[in-house]
Amino acid sequence: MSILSKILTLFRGTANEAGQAVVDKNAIRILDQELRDSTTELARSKEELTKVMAQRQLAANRGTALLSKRKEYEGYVQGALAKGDEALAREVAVKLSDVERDLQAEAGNVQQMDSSIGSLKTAIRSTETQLARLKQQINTVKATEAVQRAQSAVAARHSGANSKIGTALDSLERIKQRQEEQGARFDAAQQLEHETGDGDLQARLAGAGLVNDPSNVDGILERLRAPQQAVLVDDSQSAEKQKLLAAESLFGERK
Amino acid sequence: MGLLDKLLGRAPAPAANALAAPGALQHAMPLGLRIGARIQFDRTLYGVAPDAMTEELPAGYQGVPCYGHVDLGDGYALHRFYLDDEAFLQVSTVGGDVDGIQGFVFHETLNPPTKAAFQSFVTDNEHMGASEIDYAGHRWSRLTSAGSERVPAMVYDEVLYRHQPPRRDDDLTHYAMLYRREVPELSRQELLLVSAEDSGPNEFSITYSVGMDLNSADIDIT
Repeated sequence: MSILSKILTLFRGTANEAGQAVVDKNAIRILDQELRDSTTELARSKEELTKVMAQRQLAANRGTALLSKRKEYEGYVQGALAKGDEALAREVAVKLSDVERDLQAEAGNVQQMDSSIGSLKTAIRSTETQLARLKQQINTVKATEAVQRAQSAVAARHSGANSKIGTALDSLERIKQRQEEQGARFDAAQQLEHETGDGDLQARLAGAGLVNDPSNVDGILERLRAPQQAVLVDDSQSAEKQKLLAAESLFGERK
Repeated sequence: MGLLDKLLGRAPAPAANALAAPGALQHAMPLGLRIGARIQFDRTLYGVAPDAMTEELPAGYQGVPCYGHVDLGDGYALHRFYLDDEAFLQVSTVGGDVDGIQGFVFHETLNPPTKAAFQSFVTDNEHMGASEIDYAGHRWSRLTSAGSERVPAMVYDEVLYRHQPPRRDDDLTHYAMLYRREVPELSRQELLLVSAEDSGPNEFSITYSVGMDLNSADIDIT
């Protein structure tokens, strides 16, 4: 195979694939148009059928008229024969013969048209059924396509690097991470303050009993509710109270 | 038809602004009849019983120089095809379908001298409404209404067309009554149409037309 031939084959293949792609992409639209064309053709077939039926009726009317004419001629022939007028009888019989021939031809026409009408009716009924089935299938295909389109949209929305939910989750993760970092920084700062700042001093004063421990407040209240002497006597053994007493003496409050 | 119409499979639309010529015929004629057609009647019956009928339909191929149309309303219409030899073929239609065919021969024509005489004939003459009349040596019975009392004449307008293509040429008003009689020799009926025709301010005539019912096998149309 020559190079040129291969190139041509490639070109034809590409063109075919491109054409096929266009057809596939517009398959439902093409199917809809084909359905509309078929419906129009069906309407035309029905019109043709009604024309044939009208022609059949006209032929039947002609047949009826010929039958009437035949009966009339037969009467004339019989009357002429009864009167012995052989010539007249023969003259009318010739016409009767023509009428009978026309009658047979008309009957043949009517039978042929009856047959055609029957075939057309069957074909139209069959086409109508096929069209109804095709419409139903197209509706199903359309519905499936709509569902798949929706599924595709949902899938695209909720998956992949560009997903909004993914982005939101990332943001949340980043915020949490930032907050954790900030919390760690706060802990470090507090630790530093404990070690180097006033906080540590207060802790150490409290440890030395030189500042009020909030936990002592209740004790204070309790203490102050009772007479001071009694408390002092009763609680003489308490280390805390001993410290207090020492403090009072130190600062000269209790005179 | 444009290329686009062909591509889309559209049928060529009739010209919307195509107006009919003034006086042109606006409806189809039945049985393929037309002005200029040729009609031949089956005259076998006249040979069988030569003197049984009052009148005989004309022999040979008769031309149609004039066509008359009567709109009776509700889809009913009369189509009259006037022939070369003092006769006419009348086709009645319902919704465009043929309902009946009659052939008539003008048997007698009278010309009332005045309008008053014409009106008197229409309103008073027994030939214009009596249940039974004597005419041309026969007894005729009214066809249109049962009962023995006199009935008023049927009134209808006829429009006449001539030329090819057909063009409205004249019109007239008919005051008519239809009678019949049995013809035992031929086992059929003969018809008598009495018509008082008003076709202008001073144009009056009274015609007696004799005919019979026909069917499509009785006429040969060319």
